[in-house]
Amino acid sequence: MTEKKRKQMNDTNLRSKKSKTNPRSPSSLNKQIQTNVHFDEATTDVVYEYEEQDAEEESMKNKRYDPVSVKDRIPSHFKDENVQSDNEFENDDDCYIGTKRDANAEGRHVRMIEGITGMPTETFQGNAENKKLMMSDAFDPSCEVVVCGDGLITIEDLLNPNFVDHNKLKIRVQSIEKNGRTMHTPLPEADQAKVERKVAYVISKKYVTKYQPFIQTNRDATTISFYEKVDIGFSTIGAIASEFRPRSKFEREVAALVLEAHRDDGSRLNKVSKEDRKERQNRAKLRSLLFCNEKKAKRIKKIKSGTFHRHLKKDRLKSESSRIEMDSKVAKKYDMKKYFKRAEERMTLRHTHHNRWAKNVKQHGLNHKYEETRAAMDENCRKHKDLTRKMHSMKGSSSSNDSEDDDENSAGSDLDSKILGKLMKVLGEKDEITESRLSSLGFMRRGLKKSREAVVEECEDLLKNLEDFGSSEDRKAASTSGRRVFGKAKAHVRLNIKHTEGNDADTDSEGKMVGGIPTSTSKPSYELPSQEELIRQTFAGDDVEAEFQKDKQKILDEENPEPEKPILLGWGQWTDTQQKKGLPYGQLKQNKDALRKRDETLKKRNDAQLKNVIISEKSSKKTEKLYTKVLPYPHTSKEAFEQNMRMPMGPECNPTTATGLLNQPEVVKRPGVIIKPIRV
Amino acid sequence: MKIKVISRSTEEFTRERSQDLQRVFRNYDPILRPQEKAVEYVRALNAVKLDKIFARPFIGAMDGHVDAISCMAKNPSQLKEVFSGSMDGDIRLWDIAARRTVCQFPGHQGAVRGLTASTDGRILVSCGTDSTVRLWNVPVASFGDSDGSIKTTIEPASVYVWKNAFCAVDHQWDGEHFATGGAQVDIWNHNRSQPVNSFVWGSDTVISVRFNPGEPNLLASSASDRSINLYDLRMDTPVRKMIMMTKTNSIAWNPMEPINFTVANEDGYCYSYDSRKLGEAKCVHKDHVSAVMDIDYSPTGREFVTGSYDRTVRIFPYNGGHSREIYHTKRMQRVFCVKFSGDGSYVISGSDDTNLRLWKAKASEQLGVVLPREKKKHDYHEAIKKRYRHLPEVNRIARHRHLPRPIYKASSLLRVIADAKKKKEERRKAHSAPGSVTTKPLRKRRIIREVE
Repeated sequence: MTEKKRKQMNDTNLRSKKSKTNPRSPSSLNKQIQTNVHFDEATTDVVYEYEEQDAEEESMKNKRYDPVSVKDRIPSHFKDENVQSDNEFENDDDCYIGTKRDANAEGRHVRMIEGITGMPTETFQGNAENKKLMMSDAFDPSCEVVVCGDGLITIEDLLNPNFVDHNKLKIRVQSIEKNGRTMHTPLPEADQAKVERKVAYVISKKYVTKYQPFIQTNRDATTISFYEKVDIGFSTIGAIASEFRPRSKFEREVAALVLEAHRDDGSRLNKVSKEDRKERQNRAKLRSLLFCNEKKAKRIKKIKSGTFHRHLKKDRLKSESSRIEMDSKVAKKYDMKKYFKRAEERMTLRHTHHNRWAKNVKQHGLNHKYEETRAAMDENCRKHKDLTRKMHSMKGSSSSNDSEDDDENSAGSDLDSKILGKLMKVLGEKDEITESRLSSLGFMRRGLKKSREAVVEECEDLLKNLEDFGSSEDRKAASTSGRRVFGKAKAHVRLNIKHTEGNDADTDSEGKMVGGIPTSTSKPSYELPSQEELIRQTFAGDDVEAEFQKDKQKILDEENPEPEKPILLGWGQWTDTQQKKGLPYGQLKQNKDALRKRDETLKKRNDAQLKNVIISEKSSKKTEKLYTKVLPYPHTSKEAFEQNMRMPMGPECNPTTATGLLNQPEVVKRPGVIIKPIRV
Repeated sequence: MKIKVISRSTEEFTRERSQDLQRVFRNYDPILRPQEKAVEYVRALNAVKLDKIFARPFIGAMDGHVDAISCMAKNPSQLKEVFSGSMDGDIRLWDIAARRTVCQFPGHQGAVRGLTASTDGRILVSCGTDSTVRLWNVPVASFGDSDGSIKTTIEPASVYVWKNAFCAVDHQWDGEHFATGGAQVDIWNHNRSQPVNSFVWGSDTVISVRFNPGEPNLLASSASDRSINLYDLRMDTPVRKMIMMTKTNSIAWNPMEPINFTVANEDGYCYSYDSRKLGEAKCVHKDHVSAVMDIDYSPTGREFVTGSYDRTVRIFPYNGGHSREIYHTKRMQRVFCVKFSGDGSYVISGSDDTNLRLWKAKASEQLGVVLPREKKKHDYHEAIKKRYRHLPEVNRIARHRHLPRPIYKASSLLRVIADAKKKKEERRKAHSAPGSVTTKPLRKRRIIREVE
């Protein structure tokens, strides 16, 4: 039963003091041993028992023990089990036959529970009689007492020689001592709190760390978007309008009317006859045309250019005249206008020399003084004459058309002569071209020749045509008047052509003359110099290489200037010793270092190994501002940075689809929409 | 001879409407545009200059309080609603669209030190030096009726009197707990008159409390013993403490990165920490010349705004050491509280001069409806600005800000001090045995220790 009890005690996390078999401190213990334990003389020298005042956990002096387990009531099932097992144990093994067992069995049990729970016996409906009996028990020092709370359990209960031999018990006790759990002193409160906090921190860290991947993706993303679709409540104007309820009387009336009108689909309101629609359309068209014209006129009126307006006037007149010809109505109108003007002139005599302006001019002799004034006066006069001429004479003006025709004819002849002159000039020119220096090169000559041949051919064709035309004209002219003479000119042209042909032949094969007038000026003994000779002649006296080297050196010096020669600083003469000593060591060293540095940089230049090339390493100031000397922050490698900067981002260089992506802002959000914190 | 003829079908090239754009073909070969880089550089330069021209960040001031504004809270469910509490115990609800007071919440006997609203925007929690926590029902403005149908003064829904004065309060995201900071950190529930839980660690006053919006059970507080504490509601115990050299005035968690938070320190710097590694700051944000009083993250998590005792408001990128923007006006005094608007495009500051000020988060941003072509252009400008930012001229113009004289002087003085310190340290290092003198990086320098 002891074992069992111990087990139970362990289970409930209550640890009573281990039973002490050790008689090493009898004096101290003796005091504590109470007399109510029945003592069996047979076991006097072997076993004794003592009792402690109180179990340490019950005294509640410190907090070593879990207060919950100490104070709490034992659960009912536990109690039941205990009782039952006690009986069972007893019955099955038949090894516990204590003298007072029958009387004390109940009391002991109560005491035990009392010991475990620390509650008064009454609460367990303990028997007062039993208790008294227990108290009156004689003291037996050889009895071992297992103390639980203030109740006592006799050693007899545990160590009845009838059912347990001592050695067995001893072994058991030892084994318990060996295997029993030892309770360390609990940590101070502060440390306990610390440990708790540590654990809490670990756990809360774990809670928070689940956001890590989301945060990382958000940070890596080029854009973070908070552009969620939001329900604002009203989606359309129609939705808002449908909410409207008429309140005042007027509103109600209007609403009723509207409702009435819209009864059958509201189509009645929109019904328009076909003619109406057409008319409306026409009107709209006209209006738009008018508007366009008005705009155009305004624009034109705003233009200040005189030439433009002159052209405009010309155009207008032209179109007017054509319209007069085409349309009788317009012609009539035009005639009416003319008559009106004539009549007006006759009545007002506006364009005579009798008006104020003309008088003024005459009086001051302005017409003699200024060319323009005179011209204006003449014009005025002419206009007057025109307008006051008799009608028949006006008709007679049409006869002057003939003279105009004549003029045209004469102009035509002029044109012909002009063309002839030009043609001859072209044919004559080629000699000069042959003599130019450039054409001494073979391919140039050939090319020129070819083109010239084409030109000459064309010219000849043209001339032939002209001749034919001229001869016919000639004939005609001869019949009409003797004034026009083309024959001479024709002969001249022919002569010229022959002459040119001769020249042409000259260039083709030297010295040969095929018909025409011989060109005596050509030099038959001339030989074309060879290419090499030519080059030598052209670049005679040039030392290009030396010049290039000089240039290169100059550029090198400019870009990496030579260090200044060390000099002794001072005002004038130095003493002999100083001069003998030479320059100070430091200065010399500095100079030497500078020289060495310069050499190194020169060697590092891109054109150091290239003899015939100068690569300038001078950076231009304009492009300098486009480049950076240090790698900007988020980039880690130069290559990546350059790759990133290579392509422009603008809409000029990227298709629309790409531009949107390239230029996406870092944070895309909708103004006026509340952004909620992250949710996973 | 081969002849290439352009053949285009009329159907493809006829516009459907006169407003449609003409179809244009381009040859995108970069060889054809050898000068494109130079052109883009000039464009970037112009874009940066345009930014300067259009920089008009100040939208308006909202006056109405009669004492310094000590705290603000934004309504998480209403974009245009902002609460502000002042030192005389007045609490106001502002409509920042109309820039006027919607209603007042009278009741506090002393200064209001903390304000916060629940996530649904229904309940406002305030606390102050009068040792009370007050819960208010926020009036809800329905769509359409803005004609003053809301009551102008509101009675508190409940008042909880407690043992000590409060310095800060913050509401849990999507929950019904809120935390107050005073003698300790107390966790309250809407429905209970006593704290549900209290966290005590150390004996000094808690100055600020902030819940983590991303991870609603985590909260951080700072105390006047220069410590920053982390708590976890699930764990029932404080989690970690870190002690810095100077006091932390305010804390803000990054709403998009629940592991990170940034603290506004008394030394004028802001420190971004990873809550898992408190031994070292992830980034030190320096530009303020005086104590940083308040800090708030943009809901995008990409930048945060700080208000400082040096009378300026600055906007920092979340991973950048220096501020992107500085806002100041002649009349703005010490800034005690700042907030980013819920959509991340406005900044609101409350200062000692009893005014709330509304700023644009991007100084040169175009407000109102932006047409698609305009937007494309803006995007392109932003992109090239970013691309050519490293070039000195662009960088110089983009970074240039006009500063008030005292701040300019103070910052140059601070620079001199820092340089001198650095020089001294370098010399010390040079004149002592190698390895005997080590420089602590700035990220660690201001941290005294991490307490478990």
